Amino acid sequence: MDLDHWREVAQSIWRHKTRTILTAFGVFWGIFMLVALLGSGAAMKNGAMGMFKDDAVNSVFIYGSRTSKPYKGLKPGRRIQFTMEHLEALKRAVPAIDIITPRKRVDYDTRVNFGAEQGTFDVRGVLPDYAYIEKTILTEGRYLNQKDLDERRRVALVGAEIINVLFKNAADPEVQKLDPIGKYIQIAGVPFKIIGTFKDIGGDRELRRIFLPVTTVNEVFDPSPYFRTIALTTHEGYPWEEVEQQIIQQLSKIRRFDPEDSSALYVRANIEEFQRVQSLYQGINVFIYIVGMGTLFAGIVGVSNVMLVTVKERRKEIGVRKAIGATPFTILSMILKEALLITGVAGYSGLIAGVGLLSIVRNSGLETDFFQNPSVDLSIAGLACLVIMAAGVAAGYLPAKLAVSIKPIEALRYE
Amino acid sequence: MIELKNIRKSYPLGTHSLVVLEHFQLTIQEGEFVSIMGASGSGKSTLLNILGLLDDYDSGEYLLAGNLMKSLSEAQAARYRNQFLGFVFQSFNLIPFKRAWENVALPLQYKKTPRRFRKDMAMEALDRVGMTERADHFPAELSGGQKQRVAIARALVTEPQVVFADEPTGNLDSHTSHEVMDLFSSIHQQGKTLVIVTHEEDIAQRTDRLVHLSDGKIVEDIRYEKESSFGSPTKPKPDAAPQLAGSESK
Repeated sequence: MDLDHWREVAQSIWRHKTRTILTAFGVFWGIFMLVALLGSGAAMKNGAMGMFKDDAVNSVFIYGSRTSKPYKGLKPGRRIQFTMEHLEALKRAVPAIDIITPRKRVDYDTRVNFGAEQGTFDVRGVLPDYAYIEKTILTEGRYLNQKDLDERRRVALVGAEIINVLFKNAADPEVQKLDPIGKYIQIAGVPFKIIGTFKDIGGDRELRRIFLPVTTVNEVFDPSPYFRTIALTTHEGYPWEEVEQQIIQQLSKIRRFDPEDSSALYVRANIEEFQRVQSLYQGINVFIYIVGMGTLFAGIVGVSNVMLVTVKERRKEIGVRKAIGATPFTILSMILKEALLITGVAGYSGLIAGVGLLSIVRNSGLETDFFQNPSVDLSIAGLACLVIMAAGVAAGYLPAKLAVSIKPIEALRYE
Repeated sequence: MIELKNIRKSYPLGTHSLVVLEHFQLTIQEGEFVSIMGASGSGKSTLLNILGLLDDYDSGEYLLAGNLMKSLSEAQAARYRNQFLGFVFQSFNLIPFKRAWENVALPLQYKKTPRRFRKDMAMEALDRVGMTERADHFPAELSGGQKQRVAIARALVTEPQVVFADEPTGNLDSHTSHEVMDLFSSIHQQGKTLVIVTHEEDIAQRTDRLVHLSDGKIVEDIRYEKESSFGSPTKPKPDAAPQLAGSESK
């Protein structure tokens, strides 16, 4: 690379610096807007997507309800419930199912106490895998395991709020100092050993839960093998709409209800909401690209325009350059380099300013639940760099074409 | 050095075409110092455009240092101009935002001479026209005569076969004009082939040969006898001969 070519370009730009700076501002603003808007869009998306962080994205909850239609001689109004055998049959029939577990509620408001301290909490019987579905975060101790299940152990995984109520905020200062792990609490009068504590980003409601092995719940609280809620996750790569149909078809066969009966089952799939929000933000992103690119395009037109004027002013100079041996390619690259330098400096300044603004917002505590972590990822920054280069070539195209068309005879013209 | 055979050049003019040159013949030997004169419309600008590879011609042959110059692409013409020719213009045509030496070095940049040699070569060319002291000045800081000297240095820096000058004294007063012509004479005595287009009789008389054009035809072709000339201008100088051979073998 010949340094003198770039020096010439810089010299030429410097001669029109006011004009160049004013028009380059359009490109600066275009890239700045693009980056700032994309960052804000990402922040809004992060905020919305945060609502799905609580449970696994691929989690599905199926609630059995009452039938409303007669089916094969069966009357409407039957309660739909499941057993472990039904669960296993469903998993065998639907290959998309990954983890599947029952959720058997003891009671929303089960009385739980440790000595004098007491409260009412939501107690549920589950399989150990349930932790993955709700994205339970273990803080101390361990999860439920297969042995707990097989031996119907009286063990409990308890939410942080329960620890607060029964231990940390206890009236007795001695109790406050105790390590809850390994202590026995009374659940509806039955002693259970605390094996672990958890937190969950789903909010306070989820921290008031106690998980027990479902086999223990069957033995201690409810001898019926039935439960009404199934929680499961799906493997990746299966379209949810198909999986949902398969699940409904299979359950209607197993539990004998009309698959068209919408009141028999209630299915809540996290992925549906997730996809809805995702497509909303994809739409917003497209809108942002249109606005940002439009602004940038206006900037490019400005630069192109000013460079056309500059080339016209430099008609004679370009003619002289050609007369003394500049090839059309040399002239082309001279003008294109000028455009690239202008849009490059303006564009990268815009990129830096945009990223800077986002980091100021990030660090100034302006974030809310609906506006989180405004930032542009590397792929967007890379894309912006490509866009800037393309903008340079686009801005320089017409002026360069004009410059190339100038004949060396111009040099002989005498005004 | 220059051989025009049967050249025809016309310009389209509405539905007809205007024939400027027809059956035009001209031979200029290596080392000649030629002036071309003629009224406007006589075809001298057209001739210079063709000679200077700034424009193509319809038919005939133009041999420059033994190479046929015909239907050249723009890039080829640019390379030949850069390699074989030097130009001096009426309005000097220095690039205003470049220093004198940078102007002189510009053809070297297009010739792809390595960067580190350019300044030295430019300074050497400025020395030949007596302008080393003004090397760092911008054109606006130079007088007309000084600008033309810098422009001549720019034409010489690539060691061209032929230097073309289009009305080189048209913008200068008579005193400076004669200084510039002295410079051309000394360059000629160093063995360069020079072709000057002018409409001033006294300038033309400073050259060795006057070609007078009218209506696209040569009406006069006079060779002046100069006592002060070194050797015969029509005969190639012995030290210039290898230069010609070298360029022909390219």
